[in-house]
Amino acid sequence: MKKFLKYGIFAAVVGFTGCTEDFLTQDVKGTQVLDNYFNNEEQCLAQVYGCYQSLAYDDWWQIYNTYILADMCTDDGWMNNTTQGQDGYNDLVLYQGKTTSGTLSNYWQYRYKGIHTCNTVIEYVPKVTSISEEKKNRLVAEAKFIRAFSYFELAKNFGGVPLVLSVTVEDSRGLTRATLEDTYKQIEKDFLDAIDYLPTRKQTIANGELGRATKGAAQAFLAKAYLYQEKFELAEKYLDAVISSNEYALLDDFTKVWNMDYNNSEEGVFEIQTSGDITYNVGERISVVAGSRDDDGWSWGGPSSDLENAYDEQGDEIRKFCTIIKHGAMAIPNETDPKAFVHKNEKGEEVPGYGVLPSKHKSARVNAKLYIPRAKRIEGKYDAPHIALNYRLMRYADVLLMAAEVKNMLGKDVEAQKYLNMVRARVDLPEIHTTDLNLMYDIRKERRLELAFEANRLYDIRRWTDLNGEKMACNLFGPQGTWVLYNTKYSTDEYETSNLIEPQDEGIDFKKERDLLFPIPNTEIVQSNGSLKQNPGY
Amino acid sequence: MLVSVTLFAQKITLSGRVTDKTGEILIGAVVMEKGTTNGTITDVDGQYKLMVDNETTIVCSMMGFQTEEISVNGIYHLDIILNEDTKNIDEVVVIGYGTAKKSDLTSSISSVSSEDITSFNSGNAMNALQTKVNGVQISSTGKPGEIPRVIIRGVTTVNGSNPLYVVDGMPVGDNINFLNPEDIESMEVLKDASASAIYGTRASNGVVIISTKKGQAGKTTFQFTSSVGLSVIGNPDMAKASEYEKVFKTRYTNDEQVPAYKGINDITDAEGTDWWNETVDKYAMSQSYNLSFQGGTDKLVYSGSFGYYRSHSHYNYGWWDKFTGRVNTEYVFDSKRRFKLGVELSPKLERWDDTPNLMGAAMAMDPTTPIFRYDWETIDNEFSWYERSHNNQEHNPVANLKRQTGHSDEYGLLMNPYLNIEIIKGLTFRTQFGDNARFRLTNGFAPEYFIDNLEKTETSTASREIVIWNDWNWTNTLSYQKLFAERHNVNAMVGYTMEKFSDYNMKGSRDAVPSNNENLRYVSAGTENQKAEGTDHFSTLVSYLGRVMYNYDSRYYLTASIRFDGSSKFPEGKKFATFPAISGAWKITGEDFMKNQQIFSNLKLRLGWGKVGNQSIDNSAYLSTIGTTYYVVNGDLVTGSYVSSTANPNIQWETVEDYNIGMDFGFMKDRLTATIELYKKKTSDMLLKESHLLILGYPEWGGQVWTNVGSMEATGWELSLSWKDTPKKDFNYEVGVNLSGVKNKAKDLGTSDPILTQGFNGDYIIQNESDAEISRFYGYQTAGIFQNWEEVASYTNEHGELLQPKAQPGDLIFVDRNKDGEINAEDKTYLGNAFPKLYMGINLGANYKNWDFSMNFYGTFGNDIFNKTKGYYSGVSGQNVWAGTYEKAWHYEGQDTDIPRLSYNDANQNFTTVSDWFVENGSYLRCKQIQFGYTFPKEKIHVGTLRVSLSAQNLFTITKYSGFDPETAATGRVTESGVDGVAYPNTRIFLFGVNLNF
Repeated sequence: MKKFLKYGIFAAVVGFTGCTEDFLTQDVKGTQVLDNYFNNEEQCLAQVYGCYQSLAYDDWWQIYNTYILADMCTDDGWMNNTTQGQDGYNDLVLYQGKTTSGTLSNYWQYRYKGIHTCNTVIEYVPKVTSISEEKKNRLVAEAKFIRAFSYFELAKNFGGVPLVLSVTVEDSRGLTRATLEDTYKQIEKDFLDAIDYLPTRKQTIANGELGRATKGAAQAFLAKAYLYQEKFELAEKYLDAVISSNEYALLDDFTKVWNMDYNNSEEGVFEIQTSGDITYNVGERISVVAGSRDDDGWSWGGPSSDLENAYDEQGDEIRKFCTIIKHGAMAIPNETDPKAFVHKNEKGEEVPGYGVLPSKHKSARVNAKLYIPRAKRIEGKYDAPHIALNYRLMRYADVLLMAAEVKNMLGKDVEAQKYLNMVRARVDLPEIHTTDLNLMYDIRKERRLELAFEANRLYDIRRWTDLNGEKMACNLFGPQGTWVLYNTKYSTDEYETSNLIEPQDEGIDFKKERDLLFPIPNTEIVQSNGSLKQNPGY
Repeated sequence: MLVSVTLFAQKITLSGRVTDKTGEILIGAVVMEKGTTNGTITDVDGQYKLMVDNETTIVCSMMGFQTEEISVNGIYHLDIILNEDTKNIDEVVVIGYGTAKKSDLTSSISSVSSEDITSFNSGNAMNALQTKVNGVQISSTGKPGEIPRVIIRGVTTVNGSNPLYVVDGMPVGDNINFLNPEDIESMEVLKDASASAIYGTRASNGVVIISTKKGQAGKTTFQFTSSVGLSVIGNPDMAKASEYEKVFKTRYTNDEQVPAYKGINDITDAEGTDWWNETVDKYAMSQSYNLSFQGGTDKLVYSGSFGYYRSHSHYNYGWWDKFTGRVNTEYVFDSKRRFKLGVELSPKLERWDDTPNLMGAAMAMDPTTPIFRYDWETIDNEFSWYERSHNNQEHNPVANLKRQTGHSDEYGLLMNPYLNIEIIKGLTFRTQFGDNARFRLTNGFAPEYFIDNLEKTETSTASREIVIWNDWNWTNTLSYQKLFAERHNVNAMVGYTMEKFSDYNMKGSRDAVPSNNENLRYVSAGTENQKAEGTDHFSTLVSYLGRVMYNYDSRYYLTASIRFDGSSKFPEGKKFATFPAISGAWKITGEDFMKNQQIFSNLKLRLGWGKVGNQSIDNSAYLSTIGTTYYVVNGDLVTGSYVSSTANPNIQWETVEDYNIGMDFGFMKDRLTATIELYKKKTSDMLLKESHLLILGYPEWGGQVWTNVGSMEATGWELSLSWKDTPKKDFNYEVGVNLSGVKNKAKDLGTSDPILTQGFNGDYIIQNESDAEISRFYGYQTAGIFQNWEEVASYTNEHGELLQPKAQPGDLIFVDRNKDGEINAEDKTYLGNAFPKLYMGINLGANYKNWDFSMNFYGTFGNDIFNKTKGYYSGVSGQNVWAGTYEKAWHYEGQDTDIPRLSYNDANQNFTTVSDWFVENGSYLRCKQIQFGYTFPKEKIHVGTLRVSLSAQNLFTITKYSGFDPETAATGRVTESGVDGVAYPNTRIFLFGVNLNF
């Protein structure tokens, strides 16, 4: 018995020792591993969908929030919510020169995470042998499209940024920012590569792929990137291509533009795709952030009386109606439920009209484009993950107005007028036949009215040069800025002038040498140990 | 020749009884004939019978008693009385995979007895060690079920600090909350690598070996202990409603802005709400009950216990309790006592309601806001009865408390059977299979409620999570012990171990439970948004180990060990690492030349060196994993993927190399003892979940990836003094002082340099950089407050430009340290050190007749705290302020205050800049416990002995620190230590205890 025990144990020990190698290899369960991923078309396609998902990152409102923030920093809008501290926004909106915006930090971080996902596709998909070159090219083109879009977003907000173009970076120390020029070069290259292999809109419809990147979308964004660099000829080439493709058209009625029943319409060039399925985080989230405090919203980013005046100046009733909901409104685009037009006043009494109480809202106005009709809500409430309103990142009206601008800059005013008037015709505005600088300003005005609260204005006023040689933003803001003077001296708006919790002299601290770009998140500057330089003035 | 044969053969039968001094019979005492193997064991009546030579010496021994040697000459009956062994000097301590006499130790091991552990009532036995083990820093918050942070001898890795706990030879990880402190016989803290290298794998933060109580042959004895405690929490002095209103409005008017104040103007304090009182309970109870028993025969010994412990938080939600049981048995098969089989079983049930974290909210909440809405009676949903904060974004803490529902039950069974075979004399084989299985069920329910657009949950969610852990450990050792030629002591051991750690988890939830009714707070009741996930995780370790301990004449000692470890956490080719150690000692008092001196009763020099490892990283750190995500194409959901973690294919073991030199002194027959130790520990290939620049787009938050980043070094010293005396027959006392200091330095942080932690308004409070001490605050120096505009205007650079263009009188003056004419990041400097220069533990004890008394102090000196709670002077975002802020905040020239002016915009960033304004001296000395005990005379209590005690924990603290609790700032990760937010403080606890032996 003793011997048996002794040898038995000995044998067991030796036996187990032999199995050590196997025993010390424990596979990861329940998740795939990159080393043996990318074997088939399905996986490659899934990773491309991952690129698209990065546009809104599980519908995180902080990602969308940058769009609202951008409009707050213009003459179109206020922070608006005066029921709570405006700490999350006022560092940028009041041009305080602080570098700590959480929204921007998240936007920065998540654009780069999206770029990482794109880099994975661009690096791994071409190595997969089981799918055709044609399919691989298309998938890589989609990833390049998203990557270019992401870098473009970064360039618009921050200027030249570090270019990370591979999945792993051996040593990230000493990474520096590319110049704005080089950043745009990379953006152009990716869009150009993408254009070659992306399908047309018609093809995506035929294949049941509506919502994925198209040739037209890549051309439109590329044109925009050229336009931002004032490379007008190149911009013209790709805008012409989009227009002559005959794939896009303006919707007949402006109330359909930001209507979820018209997602992916003929006007939609590129949209973040959404779904109301509560199980998945793929809804549009920003409607809640922008909604009225008296209607379950957070009331961030409200239209200004200055914007309202701009509509009135043109007699633009349709787009005013579709952009601005004012306190007490008795009609809202696409809203048919009479319950929407009752609200509780300060005393808690039910009174007629839509509620955007002046005591809670700087301008007593909210953004109508993101308004969700009650019939589309759950139990009449805003319910964040359920909103199936595709966020329009590029629509055909933008393409036409860019074309008008480019043609005007190239001295082709007749064509410019044509495109401008196409946009105006839809909203029953008379044709414009001005030329040269007058036309230039008419186009700029039109852009403001057509694209208000679609995160265009800020980047437009940063790039447009006024007659005095300054960027338009510099003439709007600062102690002598026209928007600052309007608000502090001339405004008679009963709401804005009476709710001073959000200061009326917003923008007075604007510094032209600093404020044409946002600051890079300070944590990133500190973390880089100085290799990444902050934008000047911060 | 014949004569002599008959003489030797002349045997007699000796019999008798073995008792202790009090006449209590002793079962299982060993009675041997000296110098032979002839012996027996006393039976249940304490009787023995043994054939012995006519003329011989009888040796009688028993654990816990002094061995008696009695010469007998032709007698037939001998009753033996054994005296209890009160000398500690030869006590046996448990070392890794074996035991050793304490006096034979060559490395640094601190031993703590059960008495020391149970005299401090706490749910986690480590809390009792705080004052008692030198060089071990234990810091804790007072939260029920909180795991204390334990740092043994300084910081050598940024990757966790808690030691490895080994319970009865079974490594159980880094948390011993499940253990009943009453079950512990002893705890040995292996402080240096020469001791802990035998646990190579996970020993880089030190090892704590815990031995549970074992049975002894004899009559079954019982012990009942109980204590009931009352915890009292302090009240942070926050502003009442009227002061809040004044401060709130002044912040705006000082900036020439219109106050966005809402609610009652000129509110009185009576109209306001004291949120602290409404949220936090002043008193909380804790209680513990324990019944243990032990006994046995010469064949079978057993011990066991049942325990119950419960501690409640200072909220009406949040508590932790545990039922524990333990049975230890050991059975001897054969008469020669060569085959022993032991089984240990300890089941447990831990339960807890998650203690909420609402102290910060209770302090910050707007006191002008009532608790309930005015129309609460008309609202069906009880979770919606509450009022939204009028003037800030704080969620109503009373409403939040009401919504707390997190509850967990954890069942566990630790079993540890072993077989011990003495193959030939001195050569023992032991095989032990330990299994630690736990099952945790967590239920959660987030009710639907509406308080405000920004304070609501639109749809309720019921969730349940199940996790099963099963860790097993198979340990095989062969040890050999022999004394050669009277003086050469050899003790050798080889071993082989295998370990596997598994967890199996499952999580599910559904939304839209039809009502908030308690009976419907289950996943099955949910109607929408069904979610589930579940997976397994496995990791394994294989180790080969060996050790030789040798001493010559108990004067010269040498110990060498080696461990060869393989881990599944590392990639092919990097799985194995070797951890050697060697140590030696010289017992100087054993030398002839020391025989005649009277000064030293003990003098021993110890030297040690060793290497230990760390592998506590994610199982899949060397693999990039793919996660699942969703998008919409053509209006339909599609499944997408993304890289969800970034691999480091080169990841390998972290190792710590450790040098130790120690000297033990004993004076006056060991009445005074002292130990001095010096050590140096150096890590290499330190493992860190390294943060990367966000631009790399790495998927984890902050771009973190497991990396071997560099090296750290801890250099320290320890001095322990102990004085014990018995000046009178019925009076004795003892004084122990533990002093230690350690410098924690980052040598080379590689690609991570500097490691920045504790984010603060877009900056970081702490900077850890190469070749410097860790966890230091890094920011701007201040030079007081601008008293008038003249001072602001004259604070300029050489070009006459204002250094602080946004400043006003009443704002902080930031120092332009490098004199470059600008206040910018270049002016930052180190502002304070989170780690103390000196740690002190003081233990006093005395016994007089039936009275006993003990007192324990713990303190740290020379450390700083970044007191974030000073931010409560700002009123930022409308949060409430410290009482008196209105007066204290600067508001006139020459005011004697260091609190900046009230400002809504805080354009000067007084409260959002990392500056020395927040830094305070964090030194403190705290009376951890005072205890009085009285043992009733045996005559009065006929059943046995009864002791009652009264104790007070955290009774008083001597400190200049102005925050809540200087100890809680020392919790958290080691590279982000020393920052005080609002954590659950260590409360004052009064305890009544009963201890009955029968």
